[in-house]
Amino acid sequence: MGPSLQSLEDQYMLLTQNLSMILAACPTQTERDQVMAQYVASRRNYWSSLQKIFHDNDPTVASLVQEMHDEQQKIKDCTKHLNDIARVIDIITDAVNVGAALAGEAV
Amino acid sequence: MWHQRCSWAKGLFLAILALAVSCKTSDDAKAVADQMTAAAKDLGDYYDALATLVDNHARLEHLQQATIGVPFDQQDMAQLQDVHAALEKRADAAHELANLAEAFTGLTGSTAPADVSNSAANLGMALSTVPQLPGAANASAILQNAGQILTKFAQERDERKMAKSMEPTMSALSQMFSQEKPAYDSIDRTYTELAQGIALDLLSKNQVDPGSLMDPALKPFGLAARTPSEQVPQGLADYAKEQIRTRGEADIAAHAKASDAMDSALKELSKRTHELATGGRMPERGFTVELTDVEAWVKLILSHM
Repeated sequence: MGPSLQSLEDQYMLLTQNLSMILAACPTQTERDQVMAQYVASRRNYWSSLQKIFHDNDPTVASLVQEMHDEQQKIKDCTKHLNDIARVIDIITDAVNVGAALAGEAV
Repeated sequence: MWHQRCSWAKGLFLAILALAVSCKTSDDAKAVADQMTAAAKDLGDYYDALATLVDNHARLEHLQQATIGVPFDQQDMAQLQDVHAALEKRADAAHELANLAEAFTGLTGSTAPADVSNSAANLGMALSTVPQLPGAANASAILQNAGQILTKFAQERDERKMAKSMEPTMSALSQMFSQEKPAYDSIDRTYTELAQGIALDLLSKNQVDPGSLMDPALKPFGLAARTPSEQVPQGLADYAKEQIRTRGEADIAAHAKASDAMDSALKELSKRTHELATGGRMPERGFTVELTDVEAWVKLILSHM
């Protein structure tokens, strides 16, 4: 498994580990739904890529993998500040969008 | 007279030598076939267990939906079913290889090899339907060709030719396993880590009975733990958390050892099939690769059912 699928697995698992905590920090069901929608999208990015092939040497793919690493760190950092849940959801949404772009590169 | 005796002795010597070489080849072929039967059976069981793990992953996602409301719909189910089907195809191919290897053992004896031909055809069919997992595109193409070659050469009734025809199949199966091994490890990791996440969540919501943790102290006296009706005592909750963490790590490590062992076994078998196909003999017959880690992991997964 190359760095592409690994980064998708890492994102899915990081969100899995923190899901309960993030959901507990959501004041309303609307925010909970937003978090869960992003979680499901991350999970789908992983499973849809498992049966495909990434060209890890492709510059676009390599750049997205680097972005995934950066976004991963942002998620880790923001889970320490769950009081600003809107910002947490934005960060997770950005990260999952990068994941979707990466999954879209799989053939 | 001496010259005649000498010619006769020489002829006898050559005949014995030929017989000895023939027996050696046959014994080597039988040894490869036996090793292939054992390894292919374990490979099939391994893929079946990995497919079971994907089924269990689906059950976990259902549970996650029931406990915290994470959506899980037909699209999610279909994704998991696709991966499950891909693994089952590999299991089918491995079981057919085990059948072929068993029939190949018969070919080294005097029995007619109709079984070999049938088994080869079945394997060829199973191989041609194996879909790809990451990095396996080339291996899939080789597998499909290998199936056709096997079917053709099975009619030859010659162990060397059979070994030659099986060589690309073994090589392709081994190559496919090596290329896909990280994906197999990933499937195992995500299953275990999702289970850990759900277990920790249930524990934090006081929905776990940690009574079994007290079994080592109570079972010897025929006693059972009393389920606390209120919040689980902090010490027991911490113990349960530790158990979820350490057992999860142990399960992931057990799979890593199993996939390493399977990978090594297939590489060794591929090497020996090549030696038999090219040289007509193997330098050594004993199987040096241990498959107990594979069997132990398969047993572990079945015990989780």
